[in-house]
Amino acid sequence: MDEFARAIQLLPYAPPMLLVDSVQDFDSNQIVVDKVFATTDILVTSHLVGRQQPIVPGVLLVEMVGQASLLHQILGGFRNGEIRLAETGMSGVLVRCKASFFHPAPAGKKLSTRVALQASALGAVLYAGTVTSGGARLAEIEILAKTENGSP
Amino acid sequence: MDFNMIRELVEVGLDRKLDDFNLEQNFYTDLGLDSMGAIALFVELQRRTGIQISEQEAPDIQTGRQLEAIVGGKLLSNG
Repeated sequence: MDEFARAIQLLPYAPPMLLVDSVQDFDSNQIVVDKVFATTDILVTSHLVGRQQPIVPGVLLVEMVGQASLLHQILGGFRNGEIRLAETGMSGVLVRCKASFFHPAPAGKKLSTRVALQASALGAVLYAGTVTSGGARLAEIEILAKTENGSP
Repeated sequence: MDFNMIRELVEVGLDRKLDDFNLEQNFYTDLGLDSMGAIALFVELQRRTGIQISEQEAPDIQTGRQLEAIVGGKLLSNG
């Protein structure tokens, strides 16, 4: 198993709330992850019931950015040699978020989330995230989260 | 660090604009900053200036004057 798959396993989430399928890119400043919500996913089918073209709830895009940010912290731990620390479990508590939505997020299509580290202090990290699909910008989301080691 | 930056940092922490602000006001008791807002303030300080405030220092920074002093000291020691 590569380190990306291993890091995803360390996220403290399980389906249907695990919102990262794969990692496309990672460095010390940013991460890009993908997710496809099936049109049959309970999180989609229970949202705006009856709509012909199902869309992903906007709040899940915020959650995607949060999970991508936590994944960036875990992978950063790997790269810094803090593997044991990361494997004891890492979680994040959302302090604040600001989101702007531009287009509905389609179910059944790949959503890409890029988050970039902006700053950190007092155990908290600030990330700026962009969610896209097929080249279209769907949302800009900034989150401030406090990371914690140990089980959530 | 000038007065306007200090006010902007506090506004980020409070997530609202301040009509009336001075360097002697206590962030917590006078302006209503909470612990999460304080984290936002110090993260924004790090984003703008690169200056890190430690867990030990943070509780002692409760006014703009105190923030100005500690940031000024760190800037001096950083050369």
